[in-house]
Amino acid sequence: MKTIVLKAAALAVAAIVLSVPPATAQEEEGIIKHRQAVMKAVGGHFGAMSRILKGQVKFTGDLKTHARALADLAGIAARVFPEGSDFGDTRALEDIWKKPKEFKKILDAFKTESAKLVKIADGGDVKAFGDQFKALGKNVCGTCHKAFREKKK
Amino acid sequence: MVANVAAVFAAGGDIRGDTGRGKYLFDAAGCAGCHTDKKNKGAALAGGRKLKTPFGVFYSPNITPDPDNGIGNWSDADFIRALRLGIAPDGQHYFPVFPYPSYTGITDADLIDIKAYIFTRPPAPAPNKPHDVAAPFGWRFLLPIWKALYFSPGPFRPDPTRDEQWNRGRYLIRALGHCGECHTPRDALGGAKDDMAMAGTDNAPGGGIVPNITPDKKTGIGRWSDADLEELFESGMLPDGDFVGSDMGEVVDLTTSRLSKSDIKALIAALRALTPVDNKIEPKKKNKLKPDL
Repeated sequence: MKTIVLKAAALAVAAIVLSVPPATAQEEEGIIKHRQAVMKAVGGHFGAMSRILKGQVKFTGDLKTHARALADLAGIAARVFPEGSDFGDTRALEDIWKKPKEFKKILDAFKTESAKLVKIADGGDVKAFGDQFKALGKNVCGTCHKAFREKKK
Repeated sequence: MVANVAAVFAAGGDIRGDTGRGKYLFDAAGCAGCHTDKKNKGAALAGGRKLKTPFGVFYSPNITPDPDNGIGNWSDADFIRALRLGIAPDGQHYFPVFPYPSYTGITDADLIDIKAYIFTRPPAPAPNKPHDVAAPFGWRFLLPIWKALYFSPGPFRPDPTRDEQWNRGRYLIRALGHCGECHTPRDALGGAKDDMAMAGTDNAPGGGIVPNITPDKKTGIGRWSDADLEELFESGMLPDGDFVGSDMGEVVDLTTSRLSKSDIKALIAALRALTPVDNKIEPKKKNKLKPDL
């Protein structure tokens, strides 16, 4: 009798565990690929702004557009690190989910600092824009990559 | 007394040197990186940082002026011998995880200033952790043989056929900055492959890949502009808009972003003058933890 009850309990537990649909491999892979695409977009705007600021191309008027795009992407960036997306082909480190407060601080800084960049762009001071651009890159991108991105293997 | 000059003569000690200059050189040499266990919130320069290598796990020592656990009792001569020859005050040989094969090139005057600056830092009582290195690499008595094979001691000698900028940059790269410790591939015994200087490796001592920074156009930095290099050193940004993290991120933070404009220019000039080596470094396919992915 006892065994039957235990078996039933075990089966019930198993049923509950199995009924929670775990993210499928494809979904997980999709989350990671999407995150990498978002980060590439961030980097793309950074790269474009950098070429403009270095004077290699003359599209100074486009800085505004890139800055706004970056500020929009900062909003998206906060959503692309769901719990459990730390395995598979990713360099995202586990600490992202182990130290959520530290991680969030950087994501928040990404939002506020990129909003500042937009403001400066609207003002039109290219020198001030360059300074804020560098500060944003070093303090937000660089800081996060140091703490939360695995080195290339 | 000039503000920056510490002319403190402790009993029997010989502390001298310019602490302001020392701070600049200390940053250029990147001492704080390995000697601080930042990850575990260790005190600055108190050591204890875990350094994983193919030869075993090393823990960096305390270099604060704490007399019992750090280097507070060291004379200038002790300090010079440690960095120039890789020998501790008690005569022990250091493992070359301590980059004395590079630091050997630092001049006496610069070493004395670096030490003077370190001695202005707060002492921390953290004791040193023993290394965890398997035989035969853990056998300290074999180190003189390693040194005979791979180590050529002596301060950097300027090349009179080159200009001042190149010489300064070369000194920054080879001695203070010890770039080759990561960027030059090593052989099976951990010795630098000199014919591959700065050509990068996909098998770095700490794991991972380290890029080729020779001016090779296809596989190195030959196509980077000066502005690209300046930007990397200043803010950590790569030409594609990505930002370096991990080890180079730390180097940017602690060293290159703190260098003067003229030193950055010298660094770039000397990088450009390196022998180009065709050595393509590519990330390996990551081992996936989930086999079905």
